[in-house]
Amino acid sequence: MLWAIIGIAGTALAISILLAILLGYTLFILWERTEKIYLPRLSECLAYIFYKPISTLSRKHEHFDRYLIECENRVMQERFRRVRGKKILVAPQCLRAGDCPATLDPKMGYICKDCGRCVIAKLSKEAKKLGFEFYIVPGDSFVKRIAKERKPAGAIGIACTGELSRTLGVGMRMGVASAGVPLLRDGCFMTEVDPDAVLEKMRECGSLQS
Amino acid sequence: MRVFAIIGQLLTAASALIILSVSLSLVALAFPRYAPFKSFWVVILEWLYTPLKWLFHAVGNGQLLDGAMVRLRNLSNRARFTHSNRRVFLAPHCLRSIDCPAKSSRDGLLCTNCGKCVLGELLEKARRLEYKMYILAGSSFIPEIIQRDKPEGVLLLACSYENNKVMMHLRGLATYAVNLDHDGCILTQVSDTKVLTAMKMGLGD
Repeated sequence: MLWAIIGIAGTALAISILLAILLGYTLFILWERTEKIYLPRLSECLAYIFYKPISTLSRKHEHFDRYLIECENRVMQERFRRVRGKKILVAPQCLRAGDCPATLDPKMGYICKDCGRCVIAKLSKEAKKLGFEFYIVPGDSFVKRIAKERKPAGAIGIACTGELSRTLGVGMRMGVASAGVPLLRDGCFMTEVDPDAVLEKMRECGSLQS
Repeated sequence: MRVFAIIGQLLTAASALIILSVSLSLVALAFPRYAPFKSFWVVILEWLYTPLKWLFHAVGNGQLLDGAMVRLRNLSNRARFTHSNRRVFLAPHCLRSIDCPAKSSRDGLLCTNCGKCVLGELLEKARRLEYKMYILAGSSFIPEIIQRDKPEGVLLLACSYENNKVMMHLRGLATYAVNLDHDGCILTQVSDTKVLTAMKMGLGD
């Protein structure tokens, strides 16, 4: 009798897990076809928990990472729009031009010289206008240190899709109202981001009055 | 009912096997030098990486897991790395000094051996030992390096998290990693003696 109960429970669990993976995959396919996130909390939860099997099924890891980032942005959207207090914008050092004259500070990261050779100067100006602290970071441990020291209420991260999908998830679970803007082109050197997408996110942060 | 009873017995046996494998892989992690079938335990730990990482974070230090997995992988890969000929050395840009004059390029940092950090010395030693060395700002360029240079052995120098991540992706290759003594993405440190010892493995004097 006990074996039968275990068998029934185990079968039910296995079927539930399979159905959850299929549901997660279906929600991803719907996003691919319609560019809309359906049931964002459920989509984000399934995509995060079953990341490996669903991304393997999709056979497009980078595309799946973009989907996860959008899910995470949607889940955080309400909180992100209601941010009050310190806001930070974090950009990766790989956005810099090849002959970037920026200096490196152990506390602040790279200090932009506003030379205009890459998009960072524009982002830095707009961040200042919109009340954001702006950091150009050499790596993700630096981001963690800034988050611990500065304790922001809201944060926008720019990074490649793999790093961003992982970091946003960690930020969410740390209770920081975060949003991510993925790079248009990665590769760790002279990467690209859509500055208008970043500006849009900066304007969105704290845009709702409570 | 009989079918479910059989399924129940199979599931119980499978669960017991999984619990045993997980326990033994954690023992292999704690005592890597004495563990037999090291590459098998590495595979088990890779499958369990995410939940184990949560667990290690919960008890205080997620990096312990990465450090331990790198040690186990090194012991597992040691013989293959030692016998490898065409080798590549991947070092991180975070070792550079605050006022590093090197320019960046598609192939990584173009070190001028100014003497302000350990990278210049490592570059000289790598050249003498016939390593192709790259000083990288991130890991996304690594697949291109591997495809282009087709190395037999890959020596990695980075923080334990990055080393473990790259070793996971390059699991078909003879990789060997040296962890930084002090990480944090900026002004990081490593003992050049430790790196040189790893570089010389299998190459004699």
